[in-house]
Amino acid sequence: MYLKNKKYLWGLFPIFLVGIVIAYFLFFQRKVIISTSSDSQFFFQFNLPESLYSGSKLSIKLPQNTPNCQLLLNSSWGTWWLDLSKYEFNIPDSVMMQSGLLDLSLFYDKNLIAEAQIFIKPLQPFEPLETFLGSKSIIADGGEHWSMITAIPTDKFINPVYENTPVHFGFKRPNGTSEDYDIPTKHLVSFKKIYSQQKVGKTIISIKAANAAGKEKELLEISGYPRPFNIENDELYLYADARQYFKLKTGIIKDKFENVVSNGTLVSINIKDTDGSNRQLTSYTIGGIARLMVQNPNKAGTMQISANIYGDVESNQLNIKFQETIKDFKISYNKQTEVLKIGPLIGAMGQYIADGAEVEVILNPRQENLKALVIEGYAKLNLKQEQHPIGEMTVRFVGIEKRINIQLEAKEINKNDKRP
Amino acid sequence: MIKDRKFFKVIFFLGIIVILAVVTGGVGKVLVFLSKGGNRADLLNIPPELPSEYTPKIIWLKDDPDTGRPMESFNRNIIAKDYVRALYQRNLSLLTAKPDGIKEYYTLDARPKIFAQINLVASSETSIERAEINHNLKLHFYSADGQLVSFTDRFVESRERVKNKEGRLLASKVEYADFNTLMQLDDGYWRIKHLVRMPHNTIPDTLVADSTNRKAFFLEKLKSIKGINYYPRDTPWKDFWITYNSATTQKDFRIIKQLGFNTIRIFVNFEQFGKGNVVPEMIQRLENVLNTASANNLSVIVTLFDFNSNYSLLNFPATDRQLETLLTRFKNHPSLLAWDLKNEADLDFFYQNREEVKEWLKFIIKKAKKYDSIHPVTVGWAYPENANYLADEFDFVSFHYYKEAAKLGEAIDSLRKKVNNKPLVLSEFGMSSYRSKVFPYNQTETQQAEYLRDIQEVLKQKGNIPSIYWTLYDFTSVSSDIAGWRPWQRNNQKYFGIISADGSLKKIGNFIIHPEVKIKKSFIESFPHYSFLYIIIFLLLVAAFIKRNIIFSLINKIL
Repeated sequence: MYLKNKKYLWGLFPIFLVGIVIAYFLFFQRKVIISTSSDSQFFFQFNLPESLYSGSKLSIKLPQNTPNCQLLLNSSWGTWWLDLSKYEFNIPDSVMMQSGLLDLSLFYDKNLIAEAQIFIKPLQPFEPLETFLGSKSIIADGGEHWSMITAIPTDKFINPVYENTPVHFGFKRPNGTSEDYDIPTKHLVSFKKIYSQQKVGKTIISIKAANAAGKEKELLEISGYPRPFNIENDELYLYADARQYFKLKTGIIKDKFENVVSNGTLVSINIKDTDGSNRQLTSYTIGGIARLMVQNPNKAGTMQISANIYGDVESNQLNIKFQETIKDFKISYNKQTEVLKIGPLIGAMGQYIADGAEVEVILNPRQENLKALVIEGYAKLNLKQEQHPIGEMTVRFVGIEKRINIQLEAKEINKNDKRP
Repeated sequence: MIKDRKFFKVIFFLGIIVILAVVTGGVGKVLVFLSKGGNRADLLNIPPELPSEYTPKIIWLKDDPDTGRPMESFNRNIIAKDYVRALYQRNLSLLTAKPDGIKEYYTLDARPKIFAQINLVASSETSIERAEINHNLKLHFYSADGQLVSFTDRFVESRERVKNKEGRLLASKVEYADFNTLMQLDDGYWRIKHLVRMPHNTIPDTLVADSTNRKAFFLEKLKSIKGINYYPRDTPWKDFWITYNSATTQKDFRIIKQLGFNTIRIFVNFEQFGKGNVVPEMIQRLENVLNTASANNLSVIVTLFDFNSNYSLLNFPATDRQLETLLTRFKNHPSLLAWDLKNEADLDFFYQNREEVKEWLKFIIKKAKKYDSIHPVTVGWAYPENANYLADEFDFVSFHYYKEAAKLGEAIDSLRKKVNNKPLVLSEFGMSSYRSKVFPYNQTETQQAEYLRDIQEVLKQKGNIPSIYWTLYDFTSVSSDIAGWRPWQRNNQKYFGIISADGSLKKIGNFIIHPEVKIKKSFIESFPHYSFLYIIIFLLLVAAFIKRNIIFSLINKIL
């Protein structure tokens, strides 16, 4: 019915056109691509130098009639793909600045057409020369310990320089000698071991590669393990007054190569006091000597002193004898003023005991300790103010004990009068 | 008015159901989240040093005689890991054209060079995929303070792919080079300071090819195989290895032996085996399978890289590591017959980039022959039409066939012409006896048995082509990611077995045991199951049409 009316067939015409277009894209166009990829490869050969210096310019020239190609670049630091839309193209500077083997692969429609390799050579060493020193300090033990100075010479694009580029190392050693070495770089680095000598001090290091100099480096050679040492004390005033100090100092502490130990070496001092108790004191060396002021004991007897470093290196033992600073003293009590008067307190040389020395008064019934300070040879204790009970009391001064029994007036012992 | 009320009633009812579903699901997710334990690495915030899928081979060659200071093995590992990680980061940056993360792995003087390279890639509107497959590190220098290390990475195999922004492959290339490398310990990380690409020097391979003629022995053995593809009944595909049960394997292999088969074909799941770092437990399980097969006098064809469809270059090292681990480990196992490197690789031609799949196949064949030069290698192609691809590289050509038995002869003939007399193996074929109660599928057990008979007939005619049947069991469950979400596809996959899910021998099994007995057709089988359903539906519709008034009033009452 409809087919008889041919006008309807014109309605199919746009569909027919669309069909042709689709068919073209589906079949014909794809076929074209396949045919070019399989047969029409062209021949090309790179005409490039074997090597170039880094930073130089490189441009690739293709023949005028070449189809659109791509270039794959493999350099030290990565891969890059470049669509060669022009016939002449410059390889970017950032690629040409990387030393090492540069691979160029020319692709045409996924097919590798030509390959070339250029070695990009590094330039002369450029400053500053990068140097590394480690360890920073070693023990001057005659070559047992060592440190290492490493140089990584690079050119101005920070590429490692050629193998076998000589690097000059100069050392000024603590004992005054100078050493010079020329060590070629190997596997990107040039290094020198520095062995210790016997003298403590600084080794100043200079490094130079071609015209590029590096920073001044210094290696510290420090003293080694100390050896046993002496301690001594002054004997100016050895009385058990618990007030004056005596000086204690070590001899110069050295290691086995007669190098003075480093400042700040910790010296531990053990003191066994006259009353049998122990004291632990510490001091640090300055110039190999550790000094310490030690207070006189409060009781006559012998004080034992020894010192050590690291709990290992021992000193000699000192035995210091302390005499009694006072033989005897008097105690009196004034009933009117209710003051307990202790003294005169006369020292070993016939002098008053220095002001401020403490006298201990123990009120025996209550086991209460009171302290009285010596002023101008006497220690006074006002018992009235303190409202102390009556009874026996003990007075103790620099190891001497005395007992006194004083009956105080009982007025202050009042049951109603309670202390707050 | 009344109509409106009913309408809202329905809406309200459905709405409540939807809300309940959402709330239950949400609460469930929260509970799952709360009951999950964090792992220790998360707790300590330690980033993994290398992602598990990036595992290039790292070999330390013999150190130089004077390296300044002897290298400790602890630091050696850290240096190698940081080096590989740094290159991986560079590769990621080239791929994404973004400089993120570079500063963690390169020192201050090295960064500008990498950034320049990334900028070039960004400006060229392409992405560069790049992966290093191996690293042979030779230590030259290690500074006294342990802060600098210089080594050469020798004979590095780098693979590159260039893609445009649409992901179309523009070029791919393999290149070998040496890299002089200097690394510095910086902020507690070993960072690359200098990299200089050098012409490569080949290094002697540590693997020595087996010169004896043992491959011929296996190829001869292949000619007489009567095989079956194996998965257990309850745990096929992705459940097999993770819920592996050696007792089941023992029982099944005994059945396989009793059925008269002498070969099994099994599948190794790439991801479940731990990608590049192969999980030791999985190796033990595979070994148990091989040992059990050996005890039952069965040969095994192991199919590798199952369910791996990642053909990006960054996955190459991981596949290489798994291949090396498994092949070097099992190449001397007595029950091993051949390696099938990838199951139905041609299916990936449709879903993945074809060029990339081909590149990976070529890569993996080369490696496989290096790691095990004794056993034949192949790829089981899904269609005989594709089976000629790379045929020269393989020791035998393996293909699968699930179409009509009558056309197999033709397919074999055309394949033979293309592959120059390479031995052929039909490594998968079979038919489902799926009789759906709903969908129009009615393949009977008789048809299944006849299909096997017909295929065997064709294979015999074409010169005794060895074959491996799919499969031993009707599976109790098939997950949707194997066969697709459509129920008729999924259920169809369940009924390829010789033994049905309840353990009884199907007709095809009887045929295998007694091939001389003629297959009997039963009368009831010729009525498809689904026809009953449609007859009932039809009757119900007719009844409903007749009694339509009653039904409408009933619906009104309910609402």
